Amino acid sequence: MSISATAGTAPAHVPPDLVRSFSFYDDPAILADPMRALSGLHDGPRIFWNTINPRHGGSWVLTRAEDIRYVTAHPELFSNKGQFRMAAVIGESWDMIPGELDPPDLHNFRKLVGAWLGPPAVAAMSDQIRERAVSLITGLIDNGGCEFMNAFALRFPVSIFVDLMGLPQDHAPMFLQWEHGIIHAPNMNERAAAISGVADYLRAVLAERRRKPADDLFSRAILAEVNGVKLSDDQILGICFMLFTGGLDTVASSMGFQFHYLAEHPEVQARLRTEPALASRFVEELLRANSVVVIHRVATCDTEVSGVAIRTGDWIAIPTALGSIDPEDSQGSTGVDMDRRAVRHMAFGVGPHFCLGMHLARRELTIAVEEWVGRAPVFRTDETRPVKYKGGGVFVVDTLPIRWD
Amino acid sequence: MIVKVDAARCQGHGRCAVEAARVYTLDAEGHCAVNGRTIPPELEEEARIGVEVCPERAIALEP
Ligand code: HEM
Ligand code: SF4
Repeated sequence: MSISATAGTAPAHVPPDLVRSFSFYDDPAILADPMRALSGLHDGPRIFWNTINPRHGGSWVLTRAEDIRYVTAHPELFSNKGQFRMAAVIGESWDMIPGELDPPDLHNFRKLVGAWLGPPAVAAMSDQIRERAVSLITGLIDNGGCEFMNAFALRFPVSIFVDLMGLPQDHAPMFLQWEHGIIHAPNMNERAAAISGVADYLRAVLAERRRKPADDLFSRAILAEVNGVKLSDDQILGICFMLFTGGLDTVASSMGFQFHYLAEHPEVQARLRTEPALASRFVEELLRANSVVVIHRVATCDTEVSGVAIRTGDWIAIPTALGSIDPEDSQGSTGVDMDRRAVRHMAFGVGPHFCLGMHLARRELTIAVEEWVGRAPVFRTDETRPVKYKGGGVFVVDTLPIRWD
Repeated sequence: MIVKVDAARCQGHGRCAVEAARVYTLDAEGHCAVNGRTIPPELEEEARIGVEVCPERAIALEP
């Protein structure tokens, strides 16, 4: 993969004993079992400089929950600006909103977007989410098996995104392809083409809604005001792009880890079948054991983290998994225990940027578990075809072949 | 037992109110709204669960 650039060197201010070269993209340990590979980092220094970070050249990596809380709680020292590198790749300059904003704008935009994704909004979408899941599952059940990621885990959240945006379902396959391009493109040109594809599409819909309003999220964004000012096209694009990239591979991949676990633990399927109310507890514990997102911050000034000097402009990579499984902070370990009395995790981030889509994500994940376990016979991994992972800004299950009788 | 919520830390994840609903409630913005509340003995265990699930570690319990 040419995106996973080769290791650079560490800047002069980094102490040599804190330098590592560990590719979150394609280190063999990551490809074999990403969460296990990440948990191994807890044996090293609590913060280190990684010479490999394809998105930002090289970056610090935080490994401890306490440091993750500290850094995310101080946006004045550690900014979100530019963390996703989307617009820059296609020579544009809009922000992903709110994911690339800092306070005070952050709070105003979060209020706006949060209202579209809060518990009441999700409750109103719930029946439709369930229908989408059921119709995909019923279409698969007679096949005796499937490659879970392509057959379900990727399709399901895309169909929900399309519903959320008020777009026609037959455009879902196009979004799937763009999503694949943005995350897995073999080179920067293809990645740029996918980003442009989404941006052009969203801009065209926006222009159409400006001419002829509808009852959808675009039209609500057009009417909305932040600080008494209407949003620009770039701002609305930034919001829609954020919803697109925020809610697809994250949900799909979390679901991949959860269904991999289920496929290897038929006894847990049996338990969920007799106690369907446990589905949300299962989802929460699996989010803890498999937190898939790596977030980034950039230092706004010379400062320090846990006594280590950080220079203005240094990037910091934060694998949320390391916060979720930090044995110093909570229940530790990647081991799953559905009967844990309290589940604390950072799968949805911490600090003022925590995930606005978490209610929708939990709904989708819980419905997926309920409906699969309720409708499909016991399913297992297919021993003849291996489970595969990919690394990156999100750790993803790439292929998960399952079968049932 | 008294609940102390650090307002600077609480970001409004709402996990406390989901996992320990008899102890924790949220304000209109989604932040934990029970700072200073006295917990009866029969709810102390539930109060601890709220502490343990909070991703921000914003809740403390004082005797
Ligand atoms: C299991 C699925 C998901 C996971 C693991 C996840 C994870 C995260 C994380 C870790 C952040 C914090 C980013 C940061 O601090 O820089 C975040 C932010 C965000 N997520 Fe999610 N997310 C998921 C699903 C969704 C969904 C379904 C949506 C919406 C449709 C969504 C929308 C957002 C938005 C808008 C933000 C930006 C919040 C901000 O920067 O203030 N997410 N997500
Ligand atoms: S779980 Fe923690 S951060 Fe979330 S509302 Fe409760 S106290 Fe606040």
